[in-house]
Order: sequence, then C-alpha cells, then structure tokens
Amino acid sequence: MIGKTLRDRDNASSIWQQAAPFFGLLLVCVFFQIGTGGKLLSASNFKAFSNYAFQMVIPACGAVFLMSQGQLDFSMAGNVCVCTIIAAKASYLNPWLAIPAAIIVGLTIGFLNGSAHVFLGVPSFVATIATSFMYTGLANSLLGGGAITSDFALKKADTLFVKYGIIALALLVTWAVLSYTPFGKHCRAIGAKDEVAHQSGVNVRLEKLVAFLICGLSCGIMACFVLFRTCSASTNSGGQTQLNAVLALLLGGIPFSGGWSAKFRCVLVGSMLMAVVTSGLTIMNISANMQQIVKGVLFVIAVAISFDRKNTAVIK
Amino acid sequence: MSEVKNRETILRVQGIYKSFGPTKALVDVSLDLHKGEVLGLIGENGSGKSTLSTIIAGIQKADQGSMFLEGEPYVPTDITDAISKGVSMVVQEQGTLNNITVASNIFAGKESEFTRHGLLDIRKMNKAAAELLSSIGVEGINPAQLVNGMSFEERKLLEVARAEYTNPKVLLIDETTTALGKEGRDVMYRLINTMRDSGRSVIFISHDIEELMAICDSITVLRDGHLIGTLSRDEMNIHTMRQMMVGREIAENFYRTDYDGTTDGEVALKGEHITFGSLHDVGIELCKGEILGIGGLTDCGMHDLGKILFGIIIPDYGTVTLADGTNIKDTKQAVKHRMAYISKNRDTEALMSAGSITDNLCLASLPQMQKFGFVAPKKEKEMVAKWRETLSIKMQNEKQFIMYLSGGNKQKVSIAKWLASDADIYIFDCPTRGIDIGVKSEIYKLLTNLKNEGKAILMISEELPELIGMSDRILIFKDGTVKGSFMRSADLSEHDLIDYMI
Amino acid sequence: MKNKQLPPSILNAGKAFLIPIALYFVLLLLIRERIGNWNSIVTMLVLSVVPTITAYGLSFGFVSGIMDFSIGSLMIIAGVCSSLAGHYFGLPGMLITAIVVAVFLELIVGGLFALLKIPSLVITVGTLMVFEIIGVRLCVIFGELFPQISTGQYVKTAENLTFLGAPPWNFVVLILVAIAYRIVYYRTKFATQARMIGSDELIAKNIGIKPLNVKFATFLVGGFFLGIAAMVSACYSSAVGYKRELASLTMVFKPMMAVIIGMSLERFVKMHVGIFIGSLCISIIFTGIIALGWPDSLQDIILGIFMIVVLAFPTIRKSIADASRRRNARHLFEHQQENA
Repeated sequence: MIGKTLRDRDNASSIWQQAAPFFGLLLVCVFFQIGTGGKLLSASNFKAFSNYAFQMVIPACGAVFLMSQGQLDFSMAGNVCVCTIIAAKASYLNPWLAIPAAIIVGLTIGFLNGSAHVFLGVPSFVATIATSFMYTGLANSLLGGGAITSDFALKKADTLFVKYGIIALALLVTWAVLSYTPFGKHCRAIGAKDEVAHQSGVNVRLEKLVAFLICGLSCGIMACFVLFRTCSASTNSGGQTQLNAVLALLLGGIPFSGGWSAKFRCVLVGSMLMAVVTSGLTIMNISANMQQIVKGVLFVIAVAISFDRKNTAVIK
Repeated sequence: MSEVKNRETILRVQGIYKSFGPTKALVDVSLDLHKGEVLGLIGENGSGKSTLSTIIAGIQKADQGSMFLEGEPYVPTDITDAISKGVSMVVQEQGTLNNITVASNIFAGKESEFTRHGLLDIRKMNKAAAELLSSIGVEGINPAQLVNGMSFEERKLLEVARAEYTNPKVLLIDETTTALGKEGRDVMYRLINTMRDSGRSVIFISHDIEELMAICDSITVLRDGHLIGTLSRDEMNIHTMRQMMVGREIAENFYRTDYDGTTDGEVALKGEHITFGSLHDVGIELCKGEILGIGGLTDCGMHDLGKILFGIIIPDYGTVTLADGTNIKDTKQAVKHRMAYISKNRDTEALMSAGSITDNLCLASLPQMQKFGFVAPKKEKEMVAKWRETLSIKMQNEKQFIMYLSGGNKQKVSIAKWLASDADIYIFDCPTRGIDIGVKSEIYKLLTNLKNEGKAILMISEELPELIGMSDRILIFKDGTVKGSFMRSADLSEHDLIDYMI
Repeated sequence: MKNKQLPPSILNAGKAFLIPIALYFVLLLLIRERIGNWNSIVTMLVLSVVPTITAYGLSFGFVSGIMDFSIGSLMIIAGVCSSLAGHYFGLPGMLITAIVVAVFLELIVGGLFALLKIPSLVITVGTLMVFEIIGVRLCVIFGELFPQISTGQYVKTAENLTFLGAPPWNFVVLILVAIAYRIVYYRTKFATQARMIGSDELIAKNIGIKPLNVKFATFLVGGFFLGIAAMVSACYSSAVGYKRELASLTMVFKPMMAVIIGMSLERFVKMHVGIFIGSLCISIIFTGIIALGWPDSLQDIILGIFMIVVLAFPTIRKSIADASRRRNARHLFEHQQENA
C-alpha cells in the first residue's frame, strides 16, 4: 500500500501530504507504546483494543462514502443513540430482533438526513447538526430519563470473533465498493466536481442519498455493538461517533472536500490511528477532557495539512 | 472630427502579446488613443477585444508589451491601481453587489471619502450618489435602497456612475449597451459625449456596428488576436468593417472536404416547444449522420439549448424526445440511451481538474465496464491506452491529473470519454475553444469520421468558420429563437451568417 | 426605472412585527389559559434578549460567509470569568472582563482562521472542543480557589448584579446594545465590506477589498457583542455552568436562526430590529411548547425541525418560482394552441 501510494504521486497533493498518515500511524504507535510502558501492543490489550478498533472502523467505513462526496454527517452519535434505544426495546420481544431493528432505524435516520440535504437543499453539515438535535430529543423522549437495559442474551454476541469479524468484513466491503465499483467512483467524482459527475450521467441526488443511507447503516451496526457490550441504552450511547469517524478519515488523509484523493487507505490507516490514540490515551489514564482537547487539535491539524488551498477560490 | 488624430495621445499601447496556454489571445497589438477621442473596438468572439481592454484596465497583465499613459509608462498592478491612475472600466458581466445599497455600490472601495470619526456618513453618501446619478442623467433611483430588486440595466448604470465618479482619463465600456434599453443607452451616449467634450477618452466595445459608427470617432477592428486596422470617421463603412472582421485565410482540408450536406433523414433527437430563459418555443431536429451547427452570440440561448437536450436543465415547457419515443428528463437517462455532451466550460463542467486521466475518461462508461458490479483496474488501463493511441493524447501516464494537460489534450480526453461510452448522439458545445490549430484539425477529422459512421452530432459554436466548415446544416439563434437556417454549400460565407446573429 | 423598494418606515416595521404577533395569537388560540397573560408575554420578551445580543455578535461573520460554532463555549468562558470578576470588582469589572475575554478568545479563533486558511467550520469546531475543556477547568479551579462562589461545576453570579438579567434592566442593555450594533453594522466601512464579501467575494476582491482582513475583523467585532451577551446571560441564569462533548453547539443555533430571519427581513426593517424579531419568534414558539406541557426533549426536536425549515427557505422559494414559471409557460402554450 505504501508502494502504491508512492507510485500514485502524480497528482495534486505533495508526497508529504500523502505520506503523512503513514508516518502519523507509525509515530503514534511508537509514542504510545513507550508512553504506556509497552502495554499498547501487548496481548492483554488485544481484547480492549478490539472495542476501540470497532468504534473507529465501522463509523469510518460508513462515513467515507459521504466524505468522499464532500459531505459531513454530524448526527451519527444521535443516530446510534436512537438505534440503541429502539433496538433495546425491540430485544424484549426477541433478543435477536434488536439487530434488524437497529439496522432499519439506522437506515431510516440516514434517509432523513439525506432528504434534508438532497430535497431541501440544506448544506449537509448544518442539516445534520440540526437533525442531531432532533435525534437527541427523540432519544430523550423515548428514554423518559435514565437508561434502559436490553435483553441480556445479547451479551453472548460480545466476542472477539464477532467484533474482529465484522471489522474485517466492513473493511473488505468498503475497500471493494469504494475503490472498484461504479458507485464508489461516482462518490469521489461527486466530491471532485459534482457538476461534472452530473453531466457524465451520474444521478448525483440518488447517490448522495445512498451515501447517507450507508452512513445510517453503519450507525445501526454501531448500535448493535453498544448493545452487545453493555446491554443498555442511554443518552450517552452515541458517544463520539461522528467525531471519531470524521477525525479518523481526516487523519487518514482524506481531503476535507472529498474527491479522488479519498481512498480506502484513509479508512484503514485513519481508523487504526484513532484506535491506537484512543487506546493509548485511555491506558495512560488521560482524562476524557484531555482527550477532547487532543481531538480538537488533531481535527484542525489534519485539515490544515491536507486542505487544497490552490484550487479553492474562496475560503469560508 | 478628423483632427482627432492630430491631438495628443493619452494612451499608447505597444506590442501587446497575451496567450492562454496554446491560445494566442493577442498578437502584437499596438494602438494609440488620443485625448477626447471615442475609439470603438469591434471583433468577433475570441478576437481579443475583451482581453485587450481588461489588460488596459489592470484586470490582467499582458505577457509582453508596454503601455504609456500621458507619456509615462503605465503598469497597473490591479484594478484599484488602474483606477487611481485614471483608467476605469465598466465590465460586461454583473459588477454590483447584492444586499448592499445603491450608494454603497457606487462608492465601493472609496468609503474612506465619506468617513468621519471612523463612521460612514450615510446621508452624505446618499446625497453624493443622488447628485452623481443625476449628473449622468439617471433619475428615479433612491440611493438608500438595496440593489436586490433592481433590473440588470439599472445596476449596470450604477457601475457606470461608479466608473464616472473616479473621474477617469480613459473610460472603457465593454459590451454594456447590449444590456441597456433606450433610456440606458441615452445615458451612456450622453456620458460619452461629456467625456469627449472635456478632453477625456473612451474605448467602447460593442457588437453593434451601427451604434459604433454613430458615436465613435474611429473604430479599430480585431481578428483572432491581431489588429487588422483602424478606420477613421470618413473611412467607416459597414461592408469594409465586416470584411475586416471575418476575412481570413482558411487552410485547405482543415474542415470537411465534401460539400454534401444531405443526410438520410432519420431523426435521432427532437426538441419541441422548448422554452427556458431566453429560449422561446424552439423546435429542433437532429438526424443520424448529420452535423447540425448552432451559432449565435453568447447570450442567444444556444448553450442552454444544448443542456436542455441532454437533460441537464429541465425546460419550463417543451419536450426532448429520441427516435424511440423516450422523453429525456435527466442525464443518467440520456447517457443510458447513448447520448453524449461536452460542455463549453471545460474545467468546471466537462472535466474534473483534480482527477486523473483514467478517472475522467472512464466516468461515463463505468456501468458498461463493470462485471459482477466491479470495474477491474486492468480494464480501465486498457481503455485509456486504447484512446491514448487512437486520439494521440499527450500524457505522462494514465494517473496524471487532468489539470496538468494542455487544453487540446484535455479536450481529447473529454471526447475519448464519450467515444468510450459508444454514444450515438453527440452534443458538443464549443468543441475547439482555446485549442491550437494542430489539435483542432484532429478533432475535425474525428467529427467527420463520426458523421460517416452514422452518428448524430449537434455542434454549438461561437466560431463561424468552424460552423461553416463542418456543418451539414446551420441554425443561427438570436434572442432565443432561430433566425436563420442554412444548408451546407461551398459558397456559404460568414457574411451571410453574421447578419442574422447580431 | 421605478423605485421598487419601500422606505424602511414605520409601515414596514409594522409589517415585520406582524409575524411574531401573528405567532403569538396562533398560540393564544391553542392554549389560552397558560399564555394569555402578561407574564407570558414578558417571559417571551425576556427570553429573546440574550439570543438577540448573541446574534448581533454572530452576524458580522455570518454575512461574510463564516460560520462560528465556537461561540457557545466562548461565551461560557467569558461568563465564568466575568462572574468571578463581578464578585470582586462589581459591575464595571464584570462588563470589562466579559468583553476582554470574549474578544481575546475570538482573536485566537480569527487568527487561526487567517493563518491556516481552512474552512471556518473546521477552525471553530476545533477551537470549540478546546474551549469547552477550558471552561470545565476554569469551573473546577474556581471551585477550589473560591468555594463560596463556585461549586466546581458552575460559577455563581454576584447577587447584587443579577438585576441585569431581569426586566427592566435587561431591556435597557438590549436597547443600548442594539443602538451600538446599528451604528457598527450600517455605518462602518468594515461592516459594509463584510457584506460585500458575503454577496460576491470575487467581485469584492476586484474592487480592492481584502477578504481575509475583513473576515478576521468580523471575529473580533463579534467578540465584543458576545462578551456582553455572556454577561447578561450570567446575570439572567444567576450562574454559569460548563458544557462538554460538543453540547455547546446548542447555544449557536437560536442566534443563527435569528440572524437568518433578520437577513430575510432586511427589506422591511434593519438588522437590529429584524434579528430581534427572529429571536422573538423563536422564544414565542418555545414558550408555547413549554406552556403546552411538552417535555424538554421535544424542544430539541422542534429546534431541529425549525432550523431545517429556515435553512430550506431558499430552496423552497426557488422550487415555487420554478413551478410557477412552468405553469405560466404551459398556460401560454395551451392558450396558443386553442387560438391556433
């Protein structure tokens, strides 16, 4: 993959911009391995790491199609939260009903997000911030305060096999679809110049909707993950999903406005980077507050490195 | 009026060269503007008149050459610098800002003159604006109102007021009168006369030969970036000027060699009652094996027509149908039915600059190239290699980003994209704009081949020689309707067409 | 060349105010008992004060095309610091601290924007994340240093100063600030240039305006108003607490909606009034929701829907215009067919 990147050099970004994510990954691995006294890459961390990896890979896979189109979904956390709650409730009927319930709700919410952008013309990041309020409110009213638990049978699914399995599957599917299917290429074309895609026969509106659906799907899967692990749902279930997804992809080298430089390696390298960072920070007992600061700074740095200033006439 | 030539020179332009890539916009243009002279600039699209005036106004810089203002070297760093030196321009496009008042627009950039203790004196600005407007003969505009509801003409007059306020020694007016109604034109003419009387000069660009002849002291004709000649009042003559505008050498075999404009008459694409923007009730039929040329001025509506026929724009009324009766309503459908479209805006609509040659070239053909839902990179590579060979596209490798290619090669990639999709109906908008002669002739050969294979080609172009040289049939548009229709013939000349366009 | 614009006279102001008044009467019909009293009306007006002043601060950047998402976290820090200052230095101390802190923070945000040249969305979300934690740390530190003033989770406002948050003094502040805003927005070169940049940045550049300088200035000027808003808010709530995990984003949207509504009413009334009207409409809706007995969670849902509707205005308007154009064309042709 590194070799391929070096060979792909003949394009807009410099070699440093492209190599940065790999260096970054190497750097954080070394840094945290030292910082945690060797615990990071130890066998005992393997199990805990699976959780971090899952939390980063799945949202990143879900969000990459949107981000390569140049969109953002700020409501993923809210999405996961609502899915978790509804799935938990569904689990009372039949424990395994939770899974399809989560997926369907995730897709529906994804569709809502997409509609606000595609049909009502609201820019995606503001639209999804607005919808995130809606989902938070919805979650609150569904919960009626406090948290609920799901059927504990779901705990059975909290295995390494399931987690790493889904991670591997998600990565494989994302790699295949993003890099080699017409849809994946269309997404990146839309990010590069959506009018060109439109004039080349791409149904831009439909494909934008689909990207939102995929994002919603990943939220549904995340909700299942939360339920498997904790068998409970609360307003915190969403955690920092969208932040993780966006940050992972940005650190992985995805351009902020999407386009052809959005490649699968952004998902892989970026989510690994985020997983290492989060895992490392937690092992080192860095507080959640400090972690938020780190993420904020990383967000700005990641975009500052990869932003294409030459081709943007107006910076807003 | 012949004494104008004896007057002092206020602006001298010497040996100006300007190129955009392979396109030579201006070649060794030299010009003298005298005090109190109104000089008209005329030429076809692409003749270089806008380029020359924007260089004089400081909007862009020449590659070579020098300018002198009142004897001193004149090298404007930007518009503001040019204005401060006494050269102002009223541009062709929109130059006023929404959500701002009339007065603010007029004095944009000059707010410091109305500032007292750090605050703008709005009343003073409004009063000055009102005085300025009435001094150029514009009545009835409230300086305090927002510009949003005003018509294009009214807003253009604000720009005129803005330019006049800077008390320019040289005022450049670019194609402005085409947007103005009678009152607006009167304002313009009055202003021009005022400038002339006070010993200041005007460079006036227009397509309207009669208008130019009425107000100008002399007229300069440009063609393909060259200054053909300057006619004084006595020498002015419509016929002579048209001759100078369009008379040119055309190489043998540059365009098609046959003069048979007939086709087998099978209609491939039909548009009926199309109404949108300036287009009104337009009907058009494109036949198989035909090259149908569409010509006219930039705003005549023909560019919109191309987009409507491909499904990019949905018209307010009217239908676009294929031979099999399918109604074209969006681009996906159009492409599925083997249609192709290349926009005149190569870098913003036809090709993704920040995308590789491969990505651009294969974009329209992906559905056809896929197997079990996936597109093999090998297939993409083969596709690019094939068309690289066939069209002789100059590139470093297939991963190279389009932005590094020359205009001609970019256009080849654009065309290859659609050839790859095996389209039957091609809509080309300005296919050879900004491309050098060598590649141009390759593209013309390509078009001829396509025609001979029975494909239907619609060619929208602002270059008359191209239309005459390549089309089986030519439709000339003006103000949104077809004003003239011509069949291919060896005797057809630009003079015949230009009457209908302007 | 007819004069199509109506002068912004009392008549237009009346038309603009019709909107919130109409809203109120709609609600009145629905829930007479709860809100059909003077108390409710005052509540609605009071609730509009802080969002209006915040919106004033937000508006400069917004009209030039910048979105500043960090204002919530920024106002918390300013509020916390000024509350503390208020205990020891009284009203002047509170006011000055609030403004100085807010402007200083905006200096950082604006400076990063001008330096890094990346979208304001990224800069302001990044700084928001850092500022939130600064807010948390400040509350905790103050809780340790000044236990009588702060509990470590929030900082109490000096009791003798809370009068500023209640009528009539909060209205006095609002009116003073509104006058200042009107002067700055309509009579300074900087604000005019900000609007020009927002209208068409490329044309503005051609006129000689420097976009980056102006945008940086919008952060600073905005900070001034944000500081005042933070102070009034602290007085109103009698305490300032921290928010984390991007919760401060919720503080951005009521002011943003108010600015958008103010901008669309600009044909009728000037921004300082228009923004207030927007803020008032939002307060009326939310007071109504509370009076209806709907739970808090529903508030968030309504806020979200409201935001999307307001932001979708241009698209909806365009669709209606397109549809009517097409209808007219169709009628024209069918009429022609009949006559042919």
